[in-house]
Amino acid sequence: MSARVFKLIGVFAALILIGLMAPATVGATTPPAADADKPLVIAIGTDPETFNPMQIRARTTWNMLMHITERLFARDKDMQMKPWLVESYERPDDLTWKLKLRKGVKFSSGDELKASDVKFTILETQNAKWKSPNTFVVETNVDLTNIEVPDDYTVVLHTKKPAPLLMESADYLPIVSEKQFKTATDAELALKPVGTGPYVIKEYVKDDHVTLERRDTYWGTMPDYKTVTYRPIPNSQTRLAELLAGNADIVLNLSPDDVAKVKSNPSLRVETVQGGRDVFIGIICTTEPFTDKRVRQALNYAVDLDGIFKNLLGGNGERMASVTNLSSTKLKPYTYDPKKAAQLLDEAGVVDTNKDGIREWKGKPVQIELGTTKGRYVADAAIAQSIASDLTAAGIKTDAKAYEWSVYVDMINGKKLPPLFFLGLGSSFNGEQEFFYVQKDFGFNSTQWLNEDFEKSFTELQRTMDPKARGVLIDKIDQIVQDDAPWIFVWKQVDFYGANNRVEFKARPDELIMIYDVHPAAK
Amino acid sequence: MGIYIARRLGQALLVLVGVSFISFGAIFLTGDPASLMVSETWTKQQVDEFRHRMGFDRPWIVQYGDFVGRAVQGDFGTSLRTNQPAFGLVMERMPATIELTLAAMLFSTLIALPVGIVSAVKRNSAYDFFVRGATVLCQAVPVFWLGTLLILFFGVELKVLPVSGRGTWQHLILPAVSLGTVALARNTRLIRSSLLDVLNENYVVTARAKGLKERRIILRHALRNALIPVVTLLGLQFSMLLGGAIITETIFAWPGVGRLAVNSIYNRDFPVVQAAVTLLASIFVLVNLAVDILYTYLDPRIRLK
Repeated sequence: MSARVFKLIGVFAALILIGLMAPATVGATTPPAADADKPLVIAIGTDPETFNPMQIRARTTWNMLMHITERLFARDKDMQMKPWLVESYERPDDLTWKLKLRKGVKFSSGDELKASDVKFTILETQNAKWKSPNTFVVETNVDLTNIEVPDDYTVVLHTKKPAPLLMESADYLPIVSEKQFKTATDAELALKPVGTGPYVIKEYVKDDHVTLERRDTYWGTMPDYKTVTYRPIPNSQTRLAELLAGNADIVLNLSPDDVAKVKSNPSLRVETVQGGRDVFIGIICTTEPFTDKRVRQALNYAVDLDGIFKNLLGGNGERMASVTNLSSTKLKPYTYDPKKAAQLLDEAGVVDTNKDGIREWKGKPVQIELGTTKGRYVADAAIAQSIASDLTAAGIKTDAKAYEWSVYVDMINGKKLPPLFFLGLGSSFNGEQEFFYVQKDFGFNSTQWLNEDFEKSFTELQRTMDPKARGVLIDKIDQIVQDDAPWIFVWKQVDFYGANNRVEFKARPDELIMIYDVHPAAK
Repeated sequence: MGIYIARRLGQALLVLVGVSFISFGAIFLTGDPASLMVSETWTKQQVDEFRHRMGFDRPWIVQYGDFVGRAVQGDFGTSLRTNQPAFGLVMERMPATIELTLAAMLFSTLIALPVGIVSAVKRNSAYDFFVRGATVLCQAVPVFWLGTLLILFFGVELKVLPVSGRGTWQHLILPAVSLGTVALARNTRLIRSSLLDVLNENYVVTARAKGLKERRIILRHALRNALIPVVTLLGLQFSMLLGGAIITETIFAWPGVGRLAVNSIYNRDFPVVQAAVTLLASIFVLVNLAVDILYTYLDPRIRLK
């Protein structure tokens, strides 16, 4: 080998180095032709924690599992609850649910779905080994000693108290195969779920991909796609790159910062939807001066949320009026009104006596911390920071401090949150669950807000079966919560998805992507 | 020689004991481990019973002894998320991480060797200046930035390589280059400086005086000796790349141990975190030990000291 060859190798290697440093630009993507035979590729943020239906908590895993196992009732794309594995049902009295199952529904194992599987599923939620997210809701509502199975297709449930939302509360309770649960090992249950859904797991490489394959023996309407591949890609920029490269059809949790980049590509589009997640700043109502309702209202008036939506979220988002999804359309949200905020604070005795820009309460300047998550909710830390600036401008000196979720959840459980805290809680779209978030006994409610009117009306709502009467009560409760303001009401989080134009897909408010509703664009 | 190895073995053992302390203590850093593992709907009595069942109410030294006793048998308990053995989960991902680490080492060494040699031989030439500048730049480049740039250029713009994931050999290229770039720069600089040192030695001058060809002097006489410190660095580098793969694995969605560890930290799945930390640290220690021992064969001066 001569010195010249050495030199050539050296120059070549140096050129590679230069190549690595070269600036890159992102161009338009040419989409391959739409084809239902090609796998639908969905880029998600996290790997499934398990496929055992009794243990799943993460929404991204539900997104997969709900095509393998199915529920008694399920929400359609308009969030209306519809019977699914149940063909019909009746409620002979306020404490009884009589469910008639569909006939001829087969598990992927070949066995037919029987009423005994439903009974087993309900009882299995109480198996402490699984720490099922449904343990509490089932145990508090259903009389577990009295589940009747008069024939193979009928299940009769008795509730301990009137439970108008029983089926909606158990929205995330997939029916499992009793036979599989009694014969399979824990590892098999975690990796090879047996269900009545249209897909089975064809291949699962942990942290790399999950491929679902359609099965011909499915009882219902067949989805268009033969195979669906979910790719867990934790880095949002890499997910975006897979979309730009034309490798992914749908990308979850698109960063609002990347919306313009996706929109500028003619082959791609951004799908947004106002989800059900309540995002708010909780106010610890036992901390002075937040014990005074006027101060809490002032905080709501002091915040320019429309400015935040415009500047941070590309104009997406609307200010939330109150807690539920239902009556918030009838209630008008708080508006940005610094004068009104100042007036309310003055009335409450929170006054800037020494004119240093910070208001005082009982002679001491009001200086507080606003705790926030970082990266758990859309633009969480940035929204919190803007809100802190607005509050400081109103004379409440506020420092936003961001925490990792694992630390933050400890602070929630240990009741160690600062006087103001950022949080986002999901919805069941039933107009009732969200009220728990401000109810005094709810574990995740750190506000320590106590309002007798609210507690009384909420208890009444939980016992009311008539839909009209429920509507009136929901309106009333929303009004109470808005007026007494245990939160700074921020928004119902808008979710951002990136999609390739070769697929027809509309984002759902419940953060699920049901493959039944996704089609090749040509169709 | 025997004393040297025995001393190194003793030091390695001490480090492993330290690792076991850190790995064991980590679960107590964020407070009561029992409260992390139970559902928020559990009552205080249920949590207390659970704490007792898990043995968290015992003195910490007893718990530590139990932990070490099980850990040496590869038993770190079961994952709190999947109910699968924690050690098994980590071992499942080990091949992907080793594959990435070896590819990054191969990339960095194969390029660094010729570039470093030519740079030393052509000392102070324009080429040498360029290589030195490029290596400084490569060392300064953050992995996450370089990774994203590579993805955008080769994956999105040119569409010649896969953006992310593991499967074919093409999938390996971008993560390996991204992970290996800093090592490439370090190796190039070390080979260059090491060779320069050797080129001034008396035996090289003698070889030149004998009239040997320059190529023979460099490859036969100088390079062999210049590579001794490089071997040490490669050993250390393997361990560093193994640990440094966490960021690369996250960017390229590479299904390795680093990513599993990070996910487990976020999910508070501490048996898996403990298994991953202990295993990676043990590999680090063992590789260093192996390099130290290998060194005594490569350079007799070490064992004679």
